[in-house]
Amino acid sequence: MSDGKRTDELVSEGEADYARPDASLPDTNRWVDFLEGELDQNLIEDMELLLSHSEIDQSIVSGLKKTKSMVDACDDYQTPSAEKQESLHARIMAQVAETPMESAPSPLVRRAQQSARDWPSHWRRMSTFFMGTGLAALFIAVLSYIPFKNSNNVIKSSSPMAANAGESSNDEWLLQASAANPQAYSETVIGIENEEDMLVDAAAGELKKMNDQEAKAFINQLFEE
Amino acid sequence: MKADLELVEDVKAGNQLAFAELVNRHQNALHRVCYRFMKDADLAEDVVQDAFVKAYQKLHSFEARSSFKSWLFQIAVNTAKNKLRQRKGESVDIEKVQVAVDAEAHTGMEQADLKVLIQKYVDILPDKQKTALILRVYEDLSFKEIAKIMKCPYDTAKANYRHALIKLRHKIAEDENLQNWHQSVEVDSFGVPRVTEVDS
Repeated sequence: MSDGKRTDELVSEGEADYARPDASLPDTNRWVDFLEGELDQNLIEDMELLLSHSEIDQSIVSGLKKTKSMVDACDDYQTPSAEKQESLHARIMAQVAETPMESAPSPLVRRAQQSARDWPSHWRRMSTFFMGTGLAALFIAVLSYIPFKNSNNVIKSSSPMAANAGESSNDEWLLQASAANPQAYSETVIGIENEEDMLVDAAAGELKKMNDQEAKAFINQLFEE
Repeated sequence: MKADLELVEDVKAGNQLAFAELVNRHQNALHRVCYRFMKDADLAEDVVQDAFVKAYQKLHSFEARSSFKSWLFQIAVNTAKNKLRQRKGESVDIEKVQVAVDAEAHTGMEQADLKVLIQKYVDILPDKQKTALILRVYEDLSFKEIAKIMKCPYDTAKANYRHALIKLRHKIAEDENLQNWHQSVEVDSFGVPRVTEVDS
């Protein structure tokens, strides 16, 4: 709407000697409030002055009034006959007679309901939003934690035997698996050591037990081999 | 004659005759409001009956923060809306809907048809806007009462009414037949609008 501009133009041209009404309101909305008597008295006087000068505003006001009267004229309601009214009354009272009245809520419940009502609606919306966001964040955190936690238990190997052995604590199964295929078992489940590594470990253990001379002789023997 | 609130206290004390008097006082107003939503007198009667029974059941929770009539209207409007939802699902935004009218019927429509057309435009308004419009135009309630019935702030009730009226005004402006009728409606400068018949 260009109403604000129109008002300014009128003021600049000296055609209207009035303070401009609240410019923050869109014009048609303001005119609805004007028609419904929802404006302050001093603002109404300004609006009436504006109305007497502006043909566009007169057209808006007239359009709104006509729309309202057309809606009103479309009313096809017919009051029910006295007979129907009595019948409805009787039906209602018959059902009421069979319906127990709920007992009064306790003062505590009443107070809770009261504070819920008094809590501004935007706070209610905000709290719902934050609670929802919090729950969603918690859900996502739990979801992302589960695979991370499981990854610690899974042996990084393509061998199904290794995976099964890592996840299982069944000693029997381990014994069977090692008996069936000792090479694969030693390479995947026990570790990545080969036979030479194991020999070196054993040699290191033996060296600790020897004195210097025995150790030198043992090392020389190893190199000679 | 006892006031509504006195009768309510009597009912709470166990006097069902007092409730019969309350029903007698408000039954027609409630039927009228329910009819605006249901568009059927018999369905409106069912809603009225349900609303009164609910009101009786919950009478102890009525705290006289608003008038008994507003409280009854609130129950009735909610009951009517729930019934409507059960029947036809969610309402549709008027901006997205073009009321289907036969092209031939559209030209030279009579006033009765135009009224039906306007009623259709009212019916497809969003729920809150329609409620505010009905309560204001047909029931002549204040925005304070409308806000209580709609359980919303005063400004929201007013905004819903404004949006409804402005949307309808645009719809009428877009429709040639309605525009003709619109032009034939006479409005006093500050008086009550008069609706005249359109020459067909």
